[in-house]
Amino acid sequence: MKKIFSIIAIFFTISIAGCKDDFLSLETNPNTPSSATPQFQLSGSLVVSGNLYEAAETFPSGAIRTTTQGYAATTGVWMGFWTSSGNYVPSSVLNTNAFTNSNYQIFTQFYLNLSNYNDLEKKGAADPALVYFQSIAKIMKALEFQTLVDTYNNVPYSQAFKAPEVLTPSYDKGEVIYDDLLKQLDAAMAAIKSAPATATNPGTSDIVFKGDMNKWVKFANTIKLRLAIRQWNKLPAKQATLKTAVSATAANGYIDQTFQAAANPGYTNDDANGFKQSPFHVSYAFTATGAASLPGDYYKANTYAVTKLKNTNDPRLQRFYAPTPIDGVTYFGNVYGSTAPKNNASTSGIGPGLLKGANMEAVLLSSSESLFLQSEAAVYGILTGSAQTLYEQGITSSFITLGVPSAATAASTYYSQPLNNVSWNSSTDKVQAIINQKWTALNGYGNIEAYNEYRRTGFPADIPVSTQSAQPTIPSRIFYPVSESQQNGANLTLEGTINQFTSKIFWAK
Amino acid sequence: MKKLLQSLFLLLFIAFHAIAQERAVTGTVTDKTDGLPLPGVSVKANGTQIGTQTDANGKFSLRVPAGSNGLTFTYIGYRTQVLTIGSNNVVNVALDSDSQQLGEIVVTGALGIKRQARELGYSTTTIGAKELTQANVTNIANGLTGKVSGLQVNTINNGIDPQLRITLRGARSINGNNSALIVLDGVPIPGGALNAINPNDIEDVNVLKGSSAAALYGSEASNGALIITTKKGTASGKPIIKYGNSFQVNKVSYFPDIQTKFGPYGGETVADGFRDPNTGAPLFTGFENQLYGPAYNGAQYELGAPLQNGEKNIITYSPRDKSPIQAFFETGMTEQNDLSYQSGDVDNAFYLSAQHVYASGVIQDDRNIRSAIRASGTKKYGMFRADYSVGYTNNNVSTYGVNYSTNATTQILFANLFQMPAFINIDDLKDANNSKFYNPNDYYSAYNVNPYWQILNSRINRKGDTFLGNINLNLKPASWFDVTYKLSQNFGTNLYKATRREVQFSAYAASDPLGVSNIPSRYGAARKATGFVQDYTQYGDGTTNLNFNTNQGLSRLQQDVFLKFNRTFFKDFKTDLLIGNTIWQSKARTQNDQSSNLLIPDFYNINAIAGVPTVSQQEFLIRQIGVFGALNIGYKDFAFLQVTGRNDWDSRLSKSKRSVFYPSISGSFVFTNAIPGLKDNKILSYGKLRAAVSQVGQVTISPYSINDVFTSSPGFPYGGLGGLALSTVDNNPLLEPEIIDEIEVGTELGFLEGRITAGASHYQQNSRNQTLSVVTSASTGFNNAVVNAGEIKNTGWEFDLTGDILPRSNDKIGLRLGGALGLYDSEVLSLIPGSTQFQLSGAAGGIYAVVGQPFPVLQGSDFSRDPQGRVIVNASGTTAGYPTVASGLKNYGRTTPKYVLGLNLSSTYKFMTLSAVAEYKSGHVIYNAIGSTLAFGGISSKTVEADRERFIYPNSVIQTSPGVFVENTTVPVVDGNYGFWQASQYNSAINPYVNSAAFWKLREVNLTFNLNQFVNKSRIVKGASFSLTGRNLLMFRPIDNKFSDPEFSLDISNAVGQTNANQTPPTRLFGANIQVTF
Repeated sequence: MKKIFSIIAIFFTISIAGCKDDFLSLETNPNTPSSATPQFQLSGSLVVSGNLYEAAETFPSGAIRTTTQGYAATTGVWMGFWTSSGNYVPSSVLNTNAFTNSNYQIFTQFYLNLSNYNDLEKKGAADPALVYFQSIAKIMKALEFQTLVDTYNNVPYSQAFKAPEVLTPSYDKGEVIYDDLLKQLDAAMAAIKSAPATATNPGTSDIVFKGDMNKWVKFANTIKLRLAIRQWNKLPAKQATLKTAVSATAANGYIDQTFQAAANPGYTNDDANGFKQSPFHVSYAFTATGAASLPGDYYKANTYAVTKLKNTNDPRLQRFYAPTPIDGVTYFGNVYGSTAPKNNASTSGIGPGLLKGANMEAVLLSSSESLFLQSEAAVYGILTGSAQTLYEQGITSSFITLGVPSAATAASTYYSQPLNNVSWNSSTDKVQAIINQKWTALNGYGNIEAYNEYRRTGFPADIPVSTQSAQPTIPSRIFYPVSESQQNGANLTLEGTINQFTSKIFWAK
Repeated sequence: MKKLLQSLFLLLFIAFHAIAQERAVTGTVTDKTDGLPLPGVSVKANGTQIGTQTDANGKFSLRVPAGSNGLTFTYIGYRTQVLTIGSNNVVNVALDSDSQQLGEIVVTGALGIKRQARELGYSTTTIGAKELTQANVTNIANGLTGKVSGLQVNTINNGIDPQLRITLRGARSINGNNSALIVLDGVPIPGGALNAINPNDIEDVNVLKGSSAAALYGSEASNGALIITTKKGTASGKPIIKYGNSFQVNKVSYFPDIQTKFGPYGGETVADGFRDPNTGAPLFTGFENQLYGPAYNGAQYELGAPLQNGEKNIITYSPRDKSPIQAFFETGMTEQNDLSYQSGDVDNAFYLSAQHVYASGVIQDDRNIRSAIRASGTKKYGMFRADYSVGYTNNNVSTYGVNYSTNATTQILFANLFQMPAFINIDDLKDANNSKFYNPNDYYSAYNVNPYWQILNSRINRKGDTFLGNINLNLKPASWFDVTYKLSQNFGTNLYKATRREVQFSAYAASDPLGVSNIPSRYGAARKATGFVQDYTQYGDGTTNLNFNTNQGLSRLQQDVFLKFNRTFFKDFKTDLLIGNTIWQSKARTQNDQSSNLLIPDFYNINAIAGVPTVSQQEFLIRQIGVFGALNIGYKDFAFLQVTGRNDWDSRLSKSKRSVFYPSISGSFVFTNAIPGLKDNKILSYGKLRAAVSQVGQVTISPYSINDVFTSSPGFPYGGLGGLALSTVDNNPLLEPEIIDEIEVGTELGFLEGRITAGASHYQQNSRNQTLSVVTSASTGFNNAVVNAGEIKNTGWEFDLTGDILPRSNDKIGLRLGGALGLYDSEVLSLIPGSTQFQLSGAAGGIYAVVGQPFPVLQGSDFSRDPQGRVIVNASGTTAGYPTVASGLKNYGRTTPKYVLGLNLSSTYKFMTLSAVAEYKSGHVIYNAIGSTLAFGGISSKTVEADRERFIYPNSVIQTSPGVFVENTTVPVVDGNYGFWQASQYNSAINPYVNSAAFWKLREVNLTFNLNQFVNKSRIVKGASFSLTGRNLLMFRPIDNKFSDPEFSLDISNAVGQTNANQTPPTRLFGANIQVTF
């Protein structure tokens, strides 16, 4: 009997011999880091922001996806810049505008990127030395939340980023979000200006302004102006408040012809699968291995923009578009919705002024857009200064960015033509002229903003609708994504039924 | 201890004594019903410990001591016979099968512990070696298919090396593991290693269907288990050598229904000269990959672009006798060679086997070669017993990879193939690198790649080595106590290399001679489709799978210790108690290096590339400690109770949630033994009622799922600049295992002395705490959050009936029929609070869990319909007559079968045996996405139903004013060709391609000729058999399923219910097999 007990004892000793205290403590993931420095998080987030605004489409993670049907590319079609290739089976969704809640979505991509800025903002709030990171995070949140509101109107804001406590965030009114963004931008500008000398400069991890915090202030101020202008016409009762708010920080200055907000971490094409290239380039040109990118093969010139540029003798035609491969001289665009579009050999592709190279920067907010905004603000009397000068600087800035030869002279020649919506003096409606010119300047890099401004002002007034569109108007918005109806259905239901032709963003005309 | 020594002494004495006065007795043991010899019958000299077993031919030889006057023959399932031998030295015995002994069948359960069937309070089915391998299967899963109620095997396709998913009683987990635990010789092994086991090494497979049966596995018990026992050698004293050879051919049996009437055209314009300017009818468009052109007319046309020298490829525009698609598929073959050796005596057993399987697929150059060797044995010495088993398998698989097309969907072989017009002579394409008109520069299709280019130049070679080994040491110092120690190590390495040849296009091809943006013109100034090299190495279970949901891809090292005590109280209460402890750890480590920037063409090594390779490395480690106990109490021979408990500590869970306890209780009552009036009843000879209740778990999360992490931001690093982003998954430190409560009741009955046996089971499983990696609103900051929420209820009925309709007797005809019917239902009771549906991850996007519905269901788009369900078509305009797609999702129904009926037949006549297995499944749907691909290509037979003419969409209505619908008798589709079938919204809804997944399959047919009687004279050859086998010979599907095998699935995730164009078509196997025993 004794022996049996000793056998039992021996076996139990063997059985637990391997078990040290930490035998089961294997929580730490050996495959990916569990923490990140603010520098790494900042550069990682800003690169994604560049992708979100400039890539044809992105994965939910924000990585570039060279497929068609992205929001940035589709708004380019709606705005008359591009249309789909005759080489491909026509997309009935694109042509009929009978899209669904799974088309053109940016919701997930933007929120996942915003989650990083939110995290960075929290890190900054906890450590005074990180005030610059915190402020940049606030500014980028304002930029991207404005895009979300402009795309979806009411979206989660006050209840966002509270997982796992809040898994179904409620929606805030777009206007309420705008109001808070204005405050956040003021706070960011003030914090940067009063930052202690010990504050850590983000340096090279700031892939937009390389740590030049003064430029961040001007960028913030420009976003602030854009938030104000966007609601100006629709909400006259609010104009006095908006004017006060803009004036309070007008002295901080704005993005001008000397610089624009654009990301560049050192884009390159030396990798094997091409995703280190500038997002616009990898989307619409060639991958690093030389294969044509699908969106570049798919999105070709729209006859509307080509004709408009031709009719106004705009030399930017040759920069926005490439000559047709078949003759190398002529510029041709298809009609959006055509049942018989010409194939790629006979159609203009995206031009060299936009596809500058794999290492080109990714534009977040361009000089010309800021100048046109300031010009419009001057027309309304929100800002002092010459609306005409700002308008002409905006055009010149566009010429320079696109690499038009002798840009300043060419621009001057162009805007001196006595044409409505070209020369300041010949234009009957100054705002219409500004928005028309802004529309031209936004071709390619700013498709989403061109669409926003179109919905706000109705300009350019003659952008054609797809000939096959289910209703004869350009869509007024996209649907909330299918993920929201599935994962946040109860809150989404409160937003009522969305119609892609009649539901409007709160500031829309 | 004194007592033990005494008996040992006694034993020695008897043995000594016996040697002095023994005599040799020989004989043959046969089955009384069919007269066939019974191998493995235990023969014992009465009153002694001397014994042996019959060999493969039922023969035995025993040296019987003079003091013994008789022999006892015992064999599972047969009535024990005691014979007096008198002076006879030759004793031939015919054993009678005995249903009363149904309950005495010994079944291997959890932890490898053997118990008598009548004691079990839960449902199990044992499949023996013969039944398992009767159709010459090369993997165990195929051998089980259709033979066990409740067991379902899903395969992704009929390719050369398909992945499998084995589930029992449906799916309990929405997002986690539903795969049965695979237990080899008492120890769980990685799921992927199942393919590495030679089915001929299997003694039997006992299927523990429910979680109650597997409850001793605690947090791995929820999905039931396959308890595989390998052969351990014979105790007959004489060596047995077996050789088997089987040869099978493998042919594609069912193709999607295709048209051979119309040739290429793909929507080109009148302006560009591709349509008749007067009629608008499409013209022959030789470079197109869509078949919406003119009907075949026998004319001579120029195919594709002319060669650079102006030479033209002139084809006759008429279909070939055999479509190029069918001609593309070859006849595959499988040759198996098996050799085994076994020997042993009462105290020793040894088994050694070797197998070589060579299989070629239905696609040129597809190969799967497997070599396996296994050794196992037993050694008994006094109170000590040791068993061991080691197996090594080497697997070499070669198959095709992706091609150079820039379009991801046509990189896959079948998408290219299923767009090939019927006039193509497939033989012309075979020399894809050099053929005059079909090389990459001059291939006729502007948008496709020659499928043979892909086969020749893009290869995936996989080499897997798997080692499965265990030792089992047992010490039995007293009759009431024994202790077991087990150690098992199962691991494998996998080397995967994918290569693709570079293509340098000619300037002429890249100049796009037809101006249609052909593939060569899309490669920029360099005119080069780059080559590709990928090296993937995985340490794990010897496969490429790394799937925490199916427990595949990881190695496993395990140690078990358990102590067993047994004692009888108050004469009739037989009790045994087991307590034990298990520690295991699973590991995987992967390394992937790839680049598509080869420095030197045709040289595939990651060391010789330009630019930066894509590199990733991952490692995973899981550990678990469990302690468990089981108490069995049996009263007399009719009432049995088992109580088990297990506590697990799992490293995947955080410290506070790590410890979980899993109890079970089960009981059985053999009323034919208990009620005196029923004893020895000839009609109802055996009857048992049983019930079980258990609560088990499933830790169904990947390791490292409890803390948040950062991932490298896309594109990084840029030079020295790093970038990180929050992971898009919100991990949850409070995760708990999924908990499954099962209640099961059942009965087992034997009639007419066991000629008819029947069983019935009913169970309900409630699975709560579902571990859902839920797709959250990204506004939470994360795209997914891992939470415990939701509950599924599974209920089911299982009925088994087997009858010896004609018990084999003197007329030599025997017929046995068996059937198993399963009725399965499930309902999603709840999901995460606030949501009513949950979309499964996995390749199949439309598979959901929906509250109040069975799990899983298919949801997808549908046409706009009027209140009566008729399709609304457009009244006028460019889309007149076309349906439109409604917004929202339609629930098409469950994707797992509700009714499963398996039938098997075994019939003998003289020396011939015919057996067959058929199966019927229904009550579920499948979405065949290949239908949409075929409609795109204009090749599906559906697209020619109206002969490409205008037609009125069947059963359609037109909306005349809001809410008013009139039957459409006037508006035909604007275009009955390309416009409708390809470009309209008809092709965007999944509706046309969803159909019933019901089928009847004749899974196995086997005709065996037992040649023993013809070789009996031979001294060397002791037995032989020859058989003809067939698998998947016939399949019957509903008429609207013209696509594929409804048992296929896109992957082995829980999202079953979809197929697409990427799957090797279903095949039929038939062949012959010869077995010789020496």
